[in-house]
Amino acid sequence: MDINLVLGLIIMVLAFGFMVYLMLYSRKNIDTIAEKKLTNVRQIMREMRHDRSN
Amino acid sequence: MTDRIDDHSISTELSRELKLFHLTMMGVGMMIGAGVFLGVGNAIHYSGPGGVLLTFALNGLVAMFTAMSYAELSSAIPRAGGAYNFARVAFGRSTSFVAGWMEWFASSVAGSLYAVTFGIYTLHYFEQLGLLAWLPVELHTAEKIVAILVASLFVYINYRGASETGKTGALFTLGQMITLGIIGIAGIWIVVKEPSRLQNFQPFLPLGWSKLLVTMGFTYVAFEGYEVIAQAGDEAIEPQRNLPKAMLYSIFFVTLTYLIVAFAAVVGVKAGSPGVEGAVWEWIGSFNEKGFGMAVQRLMPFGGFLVTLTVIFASTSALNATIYSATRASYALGRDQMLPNIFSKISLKQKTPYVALFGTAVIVLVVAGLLPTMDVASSASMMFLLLFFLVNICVIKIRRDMGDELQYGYLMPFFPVLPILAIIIQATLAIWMHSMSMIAWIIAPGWILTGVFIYFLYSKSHSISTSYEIITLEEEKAEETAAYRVMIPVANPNNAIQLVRNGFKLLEAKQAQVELLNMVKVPEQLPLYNAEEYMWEGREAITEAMIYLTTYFPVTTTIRYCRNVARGIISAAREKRINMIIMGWKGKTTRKDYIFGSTIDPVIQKAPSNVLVFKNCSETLYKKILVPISGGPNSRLALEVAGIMCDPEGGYIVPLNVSPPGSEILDIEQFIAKECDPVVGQKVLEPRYKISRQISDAILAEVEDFDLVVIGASNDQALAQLIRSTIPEEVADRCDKSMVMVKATEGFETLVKRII
Repeated sequence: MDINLVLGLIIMVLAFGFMVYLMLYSRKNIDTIAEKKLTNVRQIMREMRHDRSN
Repeated sequence: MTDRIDDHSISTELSRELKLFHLTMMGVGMMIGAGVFLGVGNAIHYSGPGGVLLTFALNGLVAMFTAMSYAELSSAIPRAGGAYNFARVAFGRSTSFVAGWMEWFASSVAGSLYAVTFGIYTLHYFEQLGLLAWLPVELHTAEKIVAILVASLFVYINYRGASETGKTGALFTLGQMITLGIIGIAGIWIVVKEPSRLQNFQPFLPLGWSKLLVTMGFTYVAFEGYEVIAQAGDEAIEPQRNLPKAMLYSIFFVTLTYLIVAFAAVVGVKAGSPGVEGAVWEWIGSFNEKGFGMAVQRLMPFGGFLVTLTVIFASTSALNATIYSATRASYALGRDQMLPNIFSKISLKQKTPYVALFGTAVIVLVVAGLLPTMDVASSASMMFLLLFFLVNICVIKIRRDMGDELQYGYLMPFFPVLPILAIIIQATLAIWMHSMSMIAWIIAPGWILTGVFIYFLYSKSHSISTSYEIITLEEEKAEETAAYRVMIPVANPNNAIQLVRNGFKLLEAKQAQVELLNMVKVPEQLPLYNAEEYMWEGREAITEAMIYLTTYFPVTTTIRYCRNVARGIISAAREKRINMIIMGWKGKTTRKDYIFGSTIDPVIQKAPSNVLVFKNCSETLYKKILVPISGGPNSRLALEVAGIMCDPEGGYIVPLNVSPPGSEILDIEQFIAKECDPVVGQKVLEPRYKISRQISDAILAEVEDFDLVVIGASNDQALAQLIRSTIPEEVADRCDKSMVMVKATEGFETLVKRII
C-alpha cells in the first residue's frame, strides 16, 4: 500500500478532527460565557478552570 | 505635551439586523468565491489527487487558528472596522490606519475580481449557447461592461441596508452551497456505484510532500471570510456571541465543502475514458484553473451548466460580501476621523454608510472596468496575509494588556500557542504564494505608501481619541539627573503624602528620579472630553506629594486619562522606563476576582519594573523587620527593601524560611551571602527555620514580635491571580502589621518560564 496514502489520510483526519474539536469547544465556550454573564479574561479563566476541575 | 480629546459621539448609528445565519453565509460567500474553481484544478496540478485534499484540510486548520484570533477580538471589540479596530486598540493610530487602508483596498479589489469573474463566466456560457452573435463589441469589452453592471447592482443592494445585503448574500450563498452540494453528492454516489474510481487517488502524492506548501500557499488566502464577519460588529444582533460563532462555523463549512468538491472532482473522471490519457490527476491538472469544471463535466450530465451556475452564485455572493467589508473598513476610518469625517455619514433612512459605500464603489468599478483586474487582485492576497499576521499579534497583545477591562464573549483555547503557530505557518506559506505580477508590485506598495502619506498629512492631526487610548492631560517634566526612576501613582490628597513618606528612604537610597502619576478616572458612561472635569483631585494629590519631595528629588508630574487605571500605570512605567513602582494598599478588597484590587493586581502581574505595595505603613524606618523568604528574585528584593527600611540605630532583620515537611530547605545564610548586598547582611540576625504544612499560619504566628513584614510576592503571578490563594498573598491579606509586598522585575528566563 502507498505509504503516502496512509500518512496523508491520517494527517487529513487529524487536521479536520482537530478543527471540529476547536469549533465545538469554542461554541461551548461562547455559550458558557454568555449564559454565566462572564466578562473579563480573569473571570472566564477562573470559570474554565473551575469547570475542568469538576 | 498633551493630547487632544474630542467628542466621539455619532448621531446616527448603523442598524443591528444581521443574525448568525446571515453572518455565517456572508463569511462562507466571501470564502468560497472563485477559490474553489480556480484552486481545485491548480492544486491537483501541483500536488496530485491526495495533495488537493491535504491542502484544504491543513489550510482549513491554519485558517481556523486565525479565525479564532478574529473571533476572540471581535467578541471583545465588536465594532465595524475589523483588523483596523484591533490594531487601533493594540498598537495605536499609525499601524491601525495602514491596516484599515489595506483592508479597504484589498476588499474592494477582491470585489472587482468577483465582478469580472461573473462577467467572464456568464458571457462564456451565453457564447457556448450561441447567444452572443449579435454583440456589437468585443467579448472582452462586454465582460467588463457586465462586471460593471453587476458591481453597480450590488453597490445598490448594499446601499439599501444591512438586512438586504445580508439576505441577498445568504440567498446567493445558499444557491452556491446547493449546487456544490449536488456536485459533492454526485461524487460520493459515483464512488458507491464504482468503487474502482478510488484508484484515482493513487499515487496519493505523486510529486512529493514539498509541493503541498506550494498549493497551501496559493489557496490559503481563499479562507479570508472572517474578515467580512469582523466588519459587521455594529450591525450584528448579539455581536459578542454571533460574530465568533459565525467565523468558526463558516471556516468549518467552507473546509468541508472544499474537501467534498475536490474529492468529487478527482473521482468524477473515469480512468481510460475517451480523451483521458495517463493518470486522471494529470488530466485534470493539465487544465489548471479550468480543471475543476472539466472534471465536473465528466462527473455528471449538465456538469458544465452546474459549474457555470455555481460560479455565478459564488462570484455574486463574494462580490456582495467584499463590497460590504470594504465599505465598513472605510466607514471605520471616517468614524475615527482617520479619513475625512464624511466617510462616516450614515443615511438616515437606510442606515448605511453611503459615502464610504460610494468611495468603495469607485475603487471596485475603476479596477473592474479600467485596470487588468487579475493582476491588481493578486496584490490583495498579500495585503490580506499581512492583515492576518497583524491580527494574530493583536490578539496576544490585547489579551495581555487589556484582558481585565474588555468584555470578552469568547476566549480562544491553547493561547498563545495557536496565534503564534498561525504566524509561523503563514510566514512560511507567504514564501510560496503566487508570484505577483509587475502591476501588482507597483499597485500594492503604491497604495500602502499613499496611505502612509495620507496618515502623516491628514490622519495624524485629525484623528480622534478612542476610549481605549491613554491620554496625557498634563505633564511637567523635571530635568533628568538620576538613572534610577521610581514611579508613585497617587490617587487623592489623603493618601499621597503617606505614600511618598513610605517610599522616602527607598528614594533616598536609590538617589531616584521621581515620577508622580495621577490617572484620572472618568465613569464609563461619560465621553472622553469629560476627563478634564475629574482632574482636580489628582492635581491636588500631586501638589501635596510635590511639596514633600521636590526639595530632595527631581520630580516629574503627569496626569493621564485611561479607562483602566492599571493599564495606564503599566503603560506609563513602560514608556518612562521606570525601575520601581510604589503603591499603597488599604487592606481588604471588595472585588472577589482580585487579591489586592483591580488596580494593584494587574500592576504586580504585568509591570515591567519592581513593584512595592505598602500596607498599614506609617513610619519611614523600622526597628524589627521580618522577611519571610523562599529564594528567588522576590526574596532578594524583599531583603534589599528591608535593608533600606531598617533603622540604622539598632534596627535588625530576621529572615524566616517556612518549608513543608519533606521538602528541600533553603540555606538562608548562603542565599544572603550570594544574592544580597553586604550592608544588608550586616543587619541580619540569626535566620529562623520552621517546618509546617500551614505555611501562611506559621509566618503569621511569627509576625507579632516585629514592626514590619517585608514579603516577596508569589513567583507565579499568573497563577496567583487565578487561584487567589498563594502564600504571600494570603499572608498580606491576613497580616495586621505594617507590611510591604515586593515583586521583582521578571528576567527573560522567568518570563519564558511563565509563558510556557
